[in-house]
Amino acid sequence: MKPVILDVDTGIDDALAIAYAVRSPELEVLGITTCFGNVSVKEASRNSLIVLDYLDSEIPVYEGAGHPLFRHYSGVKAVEVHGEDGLGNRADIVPKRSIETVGAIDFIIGQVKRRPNEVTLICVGTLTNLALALMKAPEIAGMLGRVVLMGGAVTVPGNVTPWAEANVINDPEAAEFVFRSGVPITLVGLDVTMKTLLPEASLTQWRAKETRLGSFMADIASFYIQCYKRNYPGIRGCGLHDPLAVGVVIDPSFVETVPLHVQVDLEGELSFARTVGDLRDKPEKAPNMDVCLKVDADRFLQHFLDNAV
Amino acid sequence: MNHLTKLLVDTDSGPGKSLAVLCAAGSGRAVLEGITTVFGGAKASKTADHALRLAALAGRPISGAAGAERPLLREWVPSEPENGEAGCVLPEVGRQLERMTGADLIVGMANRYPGELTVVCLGPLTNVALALVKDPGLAGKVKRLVIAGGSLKAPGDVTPVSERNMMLDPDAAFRVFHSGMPITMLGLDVLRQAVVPGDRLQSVTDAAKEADTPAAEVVRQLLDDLIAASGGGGVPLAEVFAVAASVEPELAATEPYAITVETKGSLSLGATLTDLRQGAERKINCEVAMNVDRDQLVDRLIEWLTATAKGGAR
Repeated sequence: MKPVILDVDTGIDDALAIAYAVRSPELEVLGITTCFGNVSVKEASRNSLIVLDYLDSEIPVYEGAGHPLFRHYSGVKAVEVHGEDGLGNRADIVPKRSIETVGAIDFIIGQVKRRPNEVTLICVGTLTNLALALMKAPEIAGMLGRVVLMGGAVTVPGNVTPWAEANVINDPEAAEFVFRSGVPITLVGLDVTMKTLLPEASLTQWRAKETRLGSFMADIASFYIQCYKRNYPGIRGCGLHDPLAVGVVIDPSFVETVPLHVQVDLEGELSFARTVGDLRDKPEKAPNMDVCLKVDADRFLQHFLDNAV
Repeated sequence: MNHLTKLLVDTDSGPGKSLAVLCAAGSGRAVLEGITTVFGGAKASKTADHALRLAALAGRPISGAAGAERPLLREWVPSEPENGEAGCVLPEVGRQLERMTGADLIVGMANRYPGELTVVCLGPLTNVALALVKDPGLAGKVKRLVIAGGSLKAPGDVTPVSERNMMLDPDAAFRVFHSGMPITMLGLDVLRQAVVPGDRLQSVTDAAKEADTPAAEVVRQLLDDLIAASGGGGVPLAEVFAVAASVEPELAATEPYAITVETKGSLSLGATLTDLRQGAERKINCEVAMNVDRDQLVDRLIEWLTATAKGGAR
């Protein structure tokens, strides 16, 4: 079992990613760390605890950053995509457990030091927690097994602006800080996550299981799919963004990667928060990450459906 | 010659650009009506003097004007040495530069030939941006503006996403793209394909030797320079291609896009951008060349160069 920490800003696809990671026998989830993004950090923690309750899991939740590194927090949530509460209006119960007293950043540092070169960090929200952990304990940069992060759009359009993706634009400096840190990165961006769609028919199968988990997951995924149908007329389902990052850790052969140098545009007006990959024949700088450009969507989806719910 | 396209070439310095000016002036495949110059490689005033000599040498002693010496609102430092250009010293010509700016000449020509003038920009777009201020109706008077620069899907050259000419004056480019002028963008998507194998140029060199005129000699010299600089690979002839494609649009298949330009920051400064998201609202402002038939293109470039070396069909 691969030891992983899952860093989330729990909206709906984060919830699917948590379920997938917790229920996949290939992974040992050491803990869930939370940050702001789709929702506030408090809501992300609450939502993560609720999802873990549905999973009958006791995995601890560690709360992290509540605002971006160098910018004022707008407090704007992705209400249209994830609902007012982040879980498609299903966060209507009080979780059984509470967050841990240790914070996300110290938890990440502690785990990485305890198991050098073993821990994979799966970041599916803003990269603020990881950036702060690297600032507090720079020595962990060489001790992280790998960081697999959902974020960015190198060869395809963005989803917040024509060029920027949500997790990066929510804290672009944190992303750039991590990109420059030297940690081994696999970037799971919109280049591949918009090709891995959860078909609406899956929800019927989940409901047919007649379990609390099945109906909960079907409810929140249904909310998510409705949003996709509004935003992308004719689309066959919803993007499995965050679950794909989990999938890449379970089985790296789900994707094909290309080593690239990628930088976040921190100054542009139109290009602000764009993940600019140097695709020239003679790039100026050495690659700083492996960028996923192709995905075996069918095989990944099958594995996801076999395990997540 | 009335059926031939009337051209105004706006250019900065460089051997490829000199060759393009010669082709516009001396191939007999277009009527070069004017030349304007802009900062970029060398100073605009120096490039203007050089370009007029080139045109005169090719048999078109025409109007030329030195244009902008710097971007609209940024600093610029010339990158080329003060003396000569591409190693060739050209004879003095009787024709003096016009006592007007490049922008004024563009306005003047467009008004003299309303709906007939094709403007080809081989450098930054500063002169056209200024001309649009001087004559707010200019956008409707120019037949077509052909921009050799920018990039839609291909990587950039000066940054991962920005092309040199757009980077040199991104603010001017922004104004030009949003001016309503009918624009064709020949970006790196196609410019990078305008590469001719060195051995194919032998026929041009032979024709130049046979013609044995001063213009033919300059064509030969410029080609030699370009071949030497190419280091044995193909010889890039992006600017000759731009002139040829502005006269023979079938050389580059275009697609309509809504193009805008990044004018802030550094990493993406000058990037020509379009919203490719599904369902995005598109206010088409540009035809973007996305495809060329490489073999056909090489043949046509050889034809243009050969015609220029022979002195055109005058």
